[in-house]
Amino acid sequence: MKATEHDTEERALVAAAQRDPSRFAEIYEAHFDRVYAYVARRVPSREEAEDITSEVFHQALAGLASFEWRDAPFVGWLLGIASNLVARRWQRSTGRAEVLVDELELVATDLHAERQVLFAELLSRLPEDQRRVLERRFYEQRSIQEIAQEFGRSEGAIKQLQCHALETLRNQVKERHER
Amino acid sequence: MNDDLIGKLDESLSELLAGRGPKPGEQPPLSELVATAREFSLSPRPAFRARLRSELDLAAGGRSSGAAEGLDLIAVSGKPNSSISSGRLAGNAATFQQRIADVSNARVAPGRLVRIARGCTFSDRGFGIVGGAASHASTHGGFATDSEQ
Repeated sequence: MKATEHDTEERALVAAAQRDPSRFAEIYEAHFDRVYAYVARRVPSREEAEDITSEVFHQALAGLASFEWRDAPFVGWLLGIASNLVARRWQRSTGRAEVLVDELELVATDLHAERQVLFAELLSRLPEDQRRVLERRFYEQRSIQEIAQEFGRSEGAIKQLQCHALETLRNQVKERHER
Repeated sequence: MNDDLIGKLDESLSELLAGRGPKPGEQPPLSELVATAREFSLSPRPAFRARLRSELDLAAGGRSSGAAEGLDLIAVSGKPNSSISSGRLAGNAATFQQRIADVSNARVAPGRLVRIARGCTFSDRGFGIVGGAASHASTHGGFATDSEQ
């Protein structure tokens, strides 16, 4: 899709959501990955990334009615909210009511978001036992011992599954980049 | 990969998951796998994405109908031990925290969503209605939950 077409569609979507907040879900789906990618690389834990991402979208929903277009894409507004929340989280006083996100940051965030989407897709294609090990270890932060107990397997077997899963992911990411 | 490397990989992943940086001197293939794991660890949990969507749907629904009825509808999740931030409470966190202490009514199951009207309270332990908000909330259906009371 051409940039101008995209801009027009986005403006129409934002205008629709300003009139009818139930349309905000479409904005959320369109921008979740970019907002999360931006935040996750600026805070030390998954919990904080989730908390701030959540606040970004709740604030955006609350402030959408008063949103006005400037010379930046809509996601720039969302990332500005994210940036302010991250700054506040770290108790850094910016001295500005709004932090602007520059174009380079937008490009980097797009790349990170694409990687996130790729990882989600590749995870879903892993053999079930490998996928479950990664989900338990990374999403639920469970220990090898706990996973081994749940799966009824030895800790060594779980470590092996974890290793194979990461090897598969690494190889598939490489493959995608070589295409 | 041999057992020694598999063990080292798990050690590195434990460091990563504890929020510590990569160990110096890691060589391929170990360093590559840790880098892959690092990137994977920055991916959002599907359950979080879905939960936030539900919260926003509920909050947006409240904005559509609640605004007309003069209600202040807020969606929060009933995740145990979750912090309830000011962003989700329209800047009323202090009051909200105060009210949480008063709640001892019905329980909300983990992960359930509740809809809160102004004057209603919610916590990980339960929810209730404070002061004269009861009729206000119930008249307009602003106090709703998909959890069994």
